[in-house]
Amino acid sequence: MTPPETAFDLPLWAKDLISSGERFYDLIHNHEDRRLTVALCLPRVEFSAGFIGLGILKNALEQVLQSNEPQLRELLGSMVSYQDPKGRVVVGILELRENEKTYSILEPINVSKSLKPGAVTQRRTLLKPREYGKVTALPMNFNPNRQIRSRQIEKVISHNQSILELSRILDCELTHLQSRPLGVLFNVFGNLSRIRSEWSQSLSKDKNVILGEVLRPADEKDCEDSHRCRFFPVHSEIAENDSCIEIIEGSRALPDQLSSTRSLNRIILLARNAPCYKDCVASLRESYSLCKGDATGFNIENSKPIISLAFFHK
Amino acid sequence: MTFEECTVAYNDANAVLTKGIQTRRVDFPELADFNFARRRFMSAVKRGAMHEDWEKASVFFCTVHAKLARTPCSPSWLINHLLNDRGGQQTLKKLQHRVCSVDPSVRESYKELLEGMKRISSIDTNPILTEVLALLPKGFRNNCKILFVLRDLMLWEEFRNSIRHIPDSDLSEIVKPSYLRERQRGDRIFLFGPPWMFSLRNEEYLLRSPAARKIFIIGCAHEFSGEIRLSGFDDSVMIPISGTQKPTSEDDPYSFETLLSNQGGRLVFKRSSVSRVWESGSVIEAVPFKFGNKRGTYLRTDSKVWTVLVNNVGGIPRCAAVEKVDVKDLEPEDLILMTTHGGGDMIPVVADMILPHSKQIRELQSVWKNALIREIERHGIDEVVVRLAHYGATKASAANVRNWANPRSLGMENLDSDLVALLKLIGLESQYTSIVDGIQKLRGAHQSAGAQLQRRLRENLEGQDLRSVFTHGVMEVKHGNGPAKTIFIIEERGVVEEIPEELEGELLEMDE
Repeated sequence: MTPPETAFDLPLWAKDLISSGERFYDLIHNHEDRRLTVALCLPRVEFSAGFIGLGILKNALEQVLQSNEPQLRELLGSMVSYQDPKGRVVVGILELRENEKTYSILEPINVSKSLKPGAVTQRRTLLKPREYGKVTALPMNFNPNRQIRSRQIEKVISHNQSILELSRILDCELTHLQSRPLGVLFNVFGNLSRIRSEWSQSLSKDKNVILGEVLRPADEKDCEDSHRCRFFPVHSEIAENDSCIEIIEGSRALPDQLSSTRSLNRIILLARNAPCYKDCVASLRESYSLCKGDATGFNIENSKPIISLAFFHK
Repeated sequence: MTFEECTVAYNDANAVLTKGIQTRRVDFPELADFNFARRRFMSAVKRGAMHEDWEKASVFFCTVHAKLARTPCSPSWLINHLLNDRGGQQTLKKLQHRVCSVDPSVRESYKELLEGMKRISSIDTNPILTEVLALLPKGFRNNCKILFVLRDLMLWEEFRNSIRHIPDSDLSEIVKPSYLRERQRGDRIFLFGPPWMFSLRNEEYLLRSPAARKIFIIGCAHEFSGEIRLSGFDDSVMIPISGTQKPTSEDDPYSFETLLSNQGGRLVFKRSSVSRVWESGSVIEAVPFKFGNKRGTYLRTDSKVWTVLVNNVGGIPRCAAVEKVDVKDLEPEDLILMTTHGGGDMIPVVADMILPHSKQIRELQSVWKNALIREIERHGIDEVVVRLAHYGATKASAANVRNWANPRSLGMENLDSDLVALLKLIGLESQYTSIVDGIQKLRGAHQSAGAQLQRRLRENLEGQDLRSVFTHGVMEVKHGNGPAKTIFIIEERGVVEEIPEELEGELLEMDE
């Protein structure tokens, strides 16, 4: 007998980093006329940009979902996906029964060998009004009968698993990401090869929980048209008119980066094991000395090793 | 690093911040007296602005105190080692006859120091080691991995011997501090020395980003002071220290640490004010290092260099291995391997070993490069660029021409047009075939050299007696008819500076 599968969960430090991303997103939207700096002092920098990015993505998505009424009508007749309350993913064509004013999803015909020759089954799932928001459009080229290679299947399964697992952990329907383009939310300046490797490995041993599947960096092959963030080498210059959130891993280039991001919202990640840690803290304190007020309520609650400093610099 | 490893690192940090660092102060009265005399001696030498030999003795006594107070090694062994293997005997011998004719304050403290050393030489077990053994778990350790941090590789063997009899000693490991920045973790870590020393040596990462759930700091009571700031965002927030043996505040320990007096300070080299024609004008970030022979160099911050690892079997320091390490992790007392004529880059040396007639090829390279330099000096870089273009060069620009003139570059990419034009300019067209042949051979040899380098270095150096590095600060290593390599001992590490790109790896004289 196989042991029962335990639900994967993130450790406290990762959850705290996700919350930091969420709070950062909320703060900059509540203070649109100001610019926020949050510095996080961490024992190690690995994975931090990814989890913070996840928090930013979550709140950005929730804001989009709140502001848009479910426009199911626009999806009528097209392939959609929906996760029912039992967790089953339903894929099919969205229908409307005009006289009953109810929406349902008609799944593709299933030919079963166990039935009599010629017999088919087809399932229709009725949608409750409160679940309309959970329906997402599948890409235009979705074809249930298309022959796909096993590698592609693995990729699709991995992608779906990552979305579903992270949706559960974040308590947020990340499946909506497929139908609602959010654009580029943040830029990451850091050690690219390391970040790529972190974002492509599964966080769980049993399931695929891959940050890159959700965060979709621009330089990934399949993410060119649907990316949500961009990577830059640590010494890159930052465009001063960039509207994204800048996530910067502390390096010797930090003094220049702080100076060129004076008009941007930024998160600075400082690893306490980095050789340049002292210099980074000194440059940050210099910026703090010119700050235009502390940003209150940004304390990290659960994880002692993460220390924050949040202030408005404009 | 995997996600699990990262989680373990956060758990370690959490445990240390919750429970605090365990500190232990041990009494070592003989050493405390020695330290008192050492301070008086140093003050008197400094006050009297005395001869260099007295300053050397100051540094030697400082080393004796530092090694005894900040390592768990046997005092009797350690003093013997410092006198015989680290040049202490020679330093003291020079002063033997001069001591009668110096200022009484110097004479008195000097005599006290010699007597102190004699007293300490009769002690076999360091009180720090006694404390370590008391703190080790008794009996079966349930796979508890213990890491002991010792900077000086020469002391590893002695310390390994002294912990050999503890249970599960194979689970214990001696490591350098820099090994704990990224690579390794254990269940318990033992650090030696006063807390202030970790700030002074920029090693706060051992405590701020701990590589184990339990960290012990053991030091001598007479110098045990200082605290370590947690993040540096707020100067009042320190890494918690548990237990009753908290560090006490003491009067300015820094002023007497002459060995480390330039830590974080600026190292000044003698540099020519005349820039060379191949200098591109671009600057890089580099760390200055002072070596043991009053010379030094700049190494690029994000580069790697070859280091020589030492063991001390049978009392003679010998090369155990060669390893490429990040410049950011180089520390005082590390041994680095360089070519005498500049460059942490060893590839040209090995390439010359592989390539037959490399000397003639390099000489021919110098002929056309020197002729080009003369043209630039005579007519200016812009005029040379115009003339090269006139002769058919396709990639002649000021930056490229400077690069072609640089003795370290092998040649231009486009030999058909650019080399032909250059040789027309300097009147060496007749040599075209042999120069092209030479450049191509050098390129091939440089490519193979990279792969062969580590094997050859290891073969040449493994087991070599390295005593002269520790006594003279430098040691040339020759192998057959191959070019010389030099091992330098790092004495000081400076702060990051911006320097002209071409200066990286050049051996420079210190400006006293």
